[in-house]
Amino acid sequence: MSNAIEVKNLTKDYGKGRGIFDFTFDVKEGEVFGLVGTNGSGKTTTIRHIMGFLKGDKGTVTVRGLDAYKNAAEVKKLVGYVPGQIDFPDVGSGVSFLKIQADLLGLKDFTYMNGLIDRLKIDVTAPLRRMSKGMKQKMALVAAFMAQPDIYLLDEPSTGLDPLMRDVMIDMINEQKAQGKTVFMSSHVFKELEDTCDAVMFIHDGKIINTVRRSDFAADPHETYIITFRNKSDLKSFAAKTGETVTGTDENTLKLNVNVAVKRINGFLKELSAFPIAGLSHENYSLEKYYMNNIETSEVK
Amino acid sequence: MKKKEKMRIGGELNAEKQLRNERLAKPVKIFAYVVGVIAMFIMGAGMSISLAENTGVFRLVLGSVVGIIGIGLMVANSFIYKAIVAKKIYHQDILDEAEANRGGSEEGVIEVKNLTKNYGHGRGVFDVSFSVKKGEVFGFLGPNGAGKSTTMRHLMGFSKPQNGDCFINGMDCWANHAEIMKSVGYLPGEVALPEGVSGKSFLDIMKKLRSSPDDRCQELLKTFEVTTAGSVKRMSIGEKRKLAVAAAFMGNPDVLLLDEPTSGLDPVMQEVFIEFIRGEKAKGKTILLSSHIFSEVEALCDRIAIIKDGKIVSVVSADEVKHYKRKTFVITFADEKNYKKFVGEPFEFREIFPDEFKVEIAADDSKCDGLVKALTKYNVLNFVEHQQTLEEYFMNFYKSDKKFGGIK
Repeated sequence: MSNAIEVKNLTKDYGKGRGIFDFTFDVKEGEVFGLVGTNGSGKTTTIRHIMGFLKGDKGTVTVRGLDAYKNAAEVKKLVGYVPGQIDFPDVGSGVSFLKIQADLLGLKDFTYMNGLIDRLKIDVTAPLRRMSKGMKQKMALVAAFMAQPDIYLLDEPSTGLDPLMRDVMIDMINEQKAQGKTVFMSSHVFKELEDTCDAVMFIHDGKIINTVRRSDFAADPHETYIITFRNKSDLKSFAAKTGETVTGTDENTLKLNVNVAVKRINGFLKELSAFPIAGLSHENYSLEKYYMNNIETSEVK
Repeated sequence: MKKKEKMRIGGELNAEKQLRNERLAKPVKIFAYVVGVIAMFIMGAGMSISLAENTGVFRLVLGSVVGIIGIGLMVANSFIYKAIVAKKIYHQDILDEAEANRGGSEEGVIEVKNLTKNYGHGRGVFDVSFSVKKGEVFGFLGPNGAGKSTTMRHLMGFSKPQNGDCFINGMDCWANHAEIMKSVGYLPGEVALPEGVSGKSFLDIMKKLRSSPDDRCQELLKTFEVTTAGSVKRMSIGEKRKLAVAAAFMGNPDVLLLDEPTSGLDPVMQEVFIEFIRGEKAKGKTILLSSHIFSEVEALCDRIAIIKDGKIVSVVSADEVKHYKRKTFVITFADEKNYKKFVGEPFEFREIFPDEFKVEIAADDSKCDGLVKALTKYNVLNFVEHQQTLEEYFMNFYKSDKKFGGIK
């Protein structure tokens, strides 16, 4: 599979330790690629380089083999872009804005666009200046998606959307993915990354920390359980006997955390049934947990 | 007449009628004085009759009787008057109580009464009323464009209501918007900071405006890891938001209006923010908070209002929501045989999925032991807990059948 976006040794130093440093990553054609990081870690800066708004101090960014900065005009034709902060030109109503946008993109058939307007429940007749944050965000999504480009660059696309609209947006992304489109998006909402992304890259303080692929998750699924025992001796003897990985025990609360491979779940339940338990809960191993662990440990230097 | 007056007051418990009675209180008072004076004259007359020179037995008796009548009248007058006054005080209590029950300005720190602002096209807010008590965190949930920000902007006095009123601490928000700006911490939904200043100089300006003490500022900057170096123009949205957060809390205001405060903050900062608001709540701050992030609403709010198409459709207490959240497990079985057998077990099934050999059961901690023991008899493919979320509880409020026309 060829790469839709290639970033090599990209560095942009804003001074005082801010900026992005030595970024190298590829986004394959047909892939949904997520970008996660704390505020100010460089997500928007990365996306703005791919859009060709910024020129790196060092390194290269190519989109389908085109240099993102030199061929910015070409790149923009391939790309649907939702910026992190939306400022609309003052062109009156939503209708006139979308018409101008469609004109620029040479879009004649409005069927898909009108479908989006209906799904996102936008009152396009309202003046842009009067639109709330969520409405503007929805307008920006329509503007980026209406021509169904090959590549999407979405900078925190769900900001300000209500939960129902967030689900619509996730559907939109997955539909485009099914058509073989490439999506590069940043987000703070792990659920939407889990629902869409093939790979998620974690960045912190302008450096890439890790890239997690969905396939890494899916290969050997584990579940984490938290068992509350009735007394200390049960807790200790279960911890000693079990074949699963105990990740933590607390003798005060009589709680034990255990990581169980899904294929061994029957065996685990049999082991556990030998003990009278006071409670059982289950924890999702999510991107969020992964992130919290990684970012928090990287901050304690 | 006095007695009649008294009875009428005693019989009327309604607060509005009480107001009329208060107006009647003055004539009652004057009447009581007049009667008192007359009684004194009668007593005096009695005394002068009985104590005059050359008094006979007849005049002595007559004078005494007239004197006693006078004294009696005085005593009765004062007693009846006191009784009326006492009733009046008693009524004032009822009046206060009625006011409080209506969510009167005596109690609610934030008061919105019949607020209407029609922007046309069915957009705006319509007859919105609610009140937030001192020390309460009031959540505002609703779809995009429902009117959350519009309501908040009215409370900040940025917008004049077409109908109805907004009050904070008893002040009309539109008439006293200068005062409101001073005493209320506001975090807008969309942050527009002055450009061309550095983060530091922006905060210095805000610090002066809010006359905020130094240590408070330092504490805020540290808590929210605010970047002050560099021009505001260069900052990312997240960093701008953190600046705005620090600015909103600087003056240590007692009332906070937070419009989607954590949107654009990274998850670590979101947690920091929630902890911070918890602390502010513990200090007795009154907070109105709008959000799309259910976990944050759940973690902070005492009451939650759902606003949709410009109208408040429901107000629920946090306790009600907690009650809804129960522990449920989702169990997937290896095959139909296992699934069918398990469905016969005496558990509380919330939902079954026969095609996927999957069940969802409600089981609190006390039932877990039995559940594990029962499951050992089955071939289980997966066993996970389903986190019942506030999202599911509220999701149907977000759904709308409204049709939106496209572009021709």
